Amino acid sequence: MAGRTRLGSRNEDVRMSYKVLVVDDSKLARMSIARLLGTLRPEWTRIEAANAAEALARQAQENIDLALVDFNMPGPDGLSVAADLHAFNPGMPMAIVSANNQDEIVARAHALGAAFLSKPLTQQALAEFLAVVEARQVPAATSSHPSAPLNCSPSGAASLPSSSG
Amino acid sequence: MNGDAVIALGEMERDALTELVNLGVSRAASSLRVMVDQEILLSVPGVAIVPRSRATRMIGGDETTKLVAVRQDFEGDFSGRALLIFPETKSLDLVRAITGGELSLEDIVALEHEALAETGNIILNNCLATMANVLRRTLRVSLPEIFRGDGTELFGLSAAPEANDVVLVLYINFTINHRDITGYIAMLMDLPALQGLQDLLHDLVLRTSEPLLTRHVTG
Repeated sequence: MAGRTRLGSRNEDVRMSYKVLVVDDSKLARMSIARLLGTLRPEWTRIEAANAAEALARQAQENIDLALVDFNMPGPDGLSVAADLHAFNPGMPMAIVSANNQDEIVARAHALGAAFLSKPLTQQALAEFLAVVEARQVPAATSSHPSAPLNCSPSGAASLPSSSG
Repeated sequence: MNGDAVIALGEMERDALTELVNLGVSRAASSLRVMVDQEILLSVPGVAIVPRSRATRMIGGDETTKLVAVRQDFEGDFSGRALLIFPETKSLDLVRAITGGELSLEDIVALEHEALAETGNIILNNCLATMANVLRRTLRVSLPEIFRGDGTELFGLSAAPEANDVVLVLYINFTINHRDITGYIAMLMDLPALQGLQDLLHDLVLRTSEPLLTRHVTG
């Protein structure tokens, strides 16, 4: 989790700069997410991967803080990628990003502690997800519990479980 | 004779088209999921520009396979034909899955035509509407028609018998989990339509890349 760095020194304005891994076989989709991230969190670093192997290689090289993962890709699908990313770093927040919002896929995302965001991803849905991620910025690396799922509202926006501390 | 030589989609246009199909079919699968109450498994989409005869083999399999298809034509800034295709032997199984498995065989047979048309209508419209929305265009979609026959008949019946018979084929395979029902969602477009689509894909790529990725890390 060492990738995050403090940008502000005042207590009321501590913003962390994240390294975000975007995994999607489509360059257009990666561009689209990069564009939204660039608008919402221009100070964050974006890293791209086009498939499972690239994603895992980048995770091994970088201190990734957050991953946004497409579902339907050639080779291992996004849930498989997310499971591998999760195994490497159980505390890392993740979202599966897909137009395929079937119950089984959303449930498997949640079982991995990942949010589910609908594609095409809107700025509002991503903003809400990022706000949730930042709000629950507990030192996850020291936690012995798996992180609670980042739940999604029907609109695709993420929210914290109400019981979450 | 190779259609790929006639019109080439650029790498980004092909990427955008594949992603567009992926979005459309993923939404369509979510609708089918609700209708059959089983998970729908999707392949990754295929995109090819080929002679119509090859399109037939890609989707129709060997020529002895009897297929049933729901087809709807779409028209607008790009035009073509959308198809929901599966082996005819699975037709009643699909209707059974959609109707919840409580009807008698007699009732299922009686409902078959209507149920297939409505299923195709929901799936294909979902797919086309998603694609049109992303491209910021409106498509007019015809009423669903049921067609039975082999692949040659399915793709040969078009009202476009002109010489330049190369088509853009988009196809994706789906399986209804635990039901042993597999089929295709396919789209066919001929060359004039492809030009219109190419322009829209170009616009989409430009729109998506508008703000420069100033702090982007590569490699």
